[in-house]
Amino acid sequence: MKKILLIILAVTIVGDIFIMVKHKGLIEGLDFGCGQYYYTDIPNWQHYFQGTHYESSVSMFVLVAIFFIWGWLMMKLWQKIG
Amino acid sequence: MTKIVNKQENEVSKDIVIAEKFQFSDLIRKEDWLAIWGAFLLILVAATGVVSGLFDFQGAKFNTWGTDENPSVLGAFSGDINIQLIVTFIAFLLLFTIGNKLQHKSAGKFILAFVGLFFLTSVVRVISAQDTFNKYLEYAFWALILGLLIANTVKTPQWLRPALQTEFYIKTGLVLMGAEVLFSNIQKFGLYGLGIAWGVTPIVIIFMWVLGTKVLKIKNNPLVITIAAATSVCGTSAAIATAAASKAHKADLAFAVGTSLIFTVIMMVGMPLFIQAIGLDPLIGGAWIGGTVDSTGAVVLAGQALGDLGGTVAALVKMIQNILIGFIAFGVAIFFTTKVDRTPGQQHVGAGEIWQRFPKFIIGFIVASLVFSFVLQPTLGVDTTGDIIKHLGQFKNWAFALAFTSIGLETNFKELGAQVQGGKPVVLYVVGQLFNIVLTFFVVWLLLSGQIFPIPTIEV
Repeated sequence: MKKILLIILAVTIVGDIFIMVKHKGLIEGLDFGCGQYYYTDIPNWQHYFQGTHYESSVSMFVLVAIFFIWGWLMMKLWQKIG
Repeated sequence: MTKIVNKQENEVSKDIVIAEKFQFSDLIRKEDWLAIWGAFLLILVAATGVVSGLFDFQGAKFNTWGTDENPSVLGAFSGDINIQLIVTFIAFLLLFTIGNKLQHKSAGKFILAFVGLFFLTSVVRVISAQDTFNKYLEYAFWALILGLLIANTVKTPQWLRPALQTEFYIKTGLVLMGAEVLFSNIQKFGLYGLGIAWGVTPIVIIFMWVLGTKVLKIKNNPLVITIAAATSVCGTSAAIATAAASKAHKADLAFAVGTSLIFTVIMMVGMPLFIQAIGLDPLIGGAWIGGTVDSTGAVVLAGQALGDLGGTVAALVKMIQNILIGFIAFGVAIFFTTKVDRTPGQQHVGAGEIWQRFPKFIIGFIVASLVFSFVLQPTLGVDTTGDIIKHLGQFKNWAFALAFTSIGLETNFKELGAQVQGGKPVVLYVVGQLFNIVLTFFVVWLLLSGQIFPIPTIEV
């Protein structure tokens, strides 16, 4: 088990270094990557996050209700299991 | 009366104050409340500057250097950066010095130490502004590296220690982050987004909790939940919030963030390649990336590799996950207060005790989120609110960078090595992430494949 773990870690770190040296995964013209942890860290984040791309037919009230009901249920489950 | 118990369930022993009666003087004496007031003051000044247009109050961000256009490190300092750097320094020096004074700590020693810490953090932020580092790792990684190097070679000088107040910086940064959590974004992708982001996340957290505490038998509960939140929500930001909510040890946060960062680089590159190789639809692929890749920047970039549709859907799903941070932190604080940290043998934890133990800065986080979502955005409009958030963003990053530098300066390799526990936390991350990937794919396929529900129309 430990050997497998060490191999995974070694491959990941070597892979990271290779990706960074070769600038893999980046897109020309986009000045960000996984170093931008939160959405507001992304340059010109409004372009990606403030536009309207989808018109929901479900009201905000219903979405909020589902959000809290599901959250409450999961909290109860966690407390029961934990 | 203050009662202190040893937290027996955790390998990393630490004393936790569990029953200290609330007094009104706490509002100006306790770190949690001072973090809230300090962050609110920054928000007020930034908002006033944006709305009135009289002044520009924003934190410093060094220019990216190491590029063809800006090859020299000196290029990091061009433009308005020096003024913004002075503004950031003075604003934080004032806030944290007053905070220390109100907590009856020596202001003189703090000021001297803070100057040193701010200088080191500036070095960190200049290093992380290098083109490659900026895109792949950024400040959390370099702050830990620089801090650890100093602490484990020349040793952290005593005069610097009064400024190593990790929790104070994190709490202040988190309240500032609350302003960025716009709850109205919940409707951006309707039931589809809610199902993918919010349907999966708590299940992954519970799965990882059971895996970590019952199967792998990791004794350090805050470490388990911090890794679980980083995996299932959004990496570094979620790890910071959850670590603070569960009162995790500094090394726990460093370990969770480090693990998340090294695997996110691989996922950012690997997931779009895999999706393209199997010929998956960009709508499904983008949503899959949005629900699984940790860092938000990596999500947008990996999604964009599938085209505009993939990038847009990935951002929509991740945006909803970004909202979850506050609620997850709230839930974790309640869970740890009532279940994990309760006195051994105690059957029921009363509301009063929950309040006493509850990390109060989370209230500030949620209030900031609610004010920006339901007061400022409807009254000032989306653009002005966005502008205020933009002005606050770098103050948040500076607060977190100060915290991570402090963590590095306070941690020795032996302490960090103790977190490894035979590799169990890494197993937790890897297995948890695999579960997250499989479950998210299943939910994404159910919702977006058109087999059961209509395929949503996305405008790009």
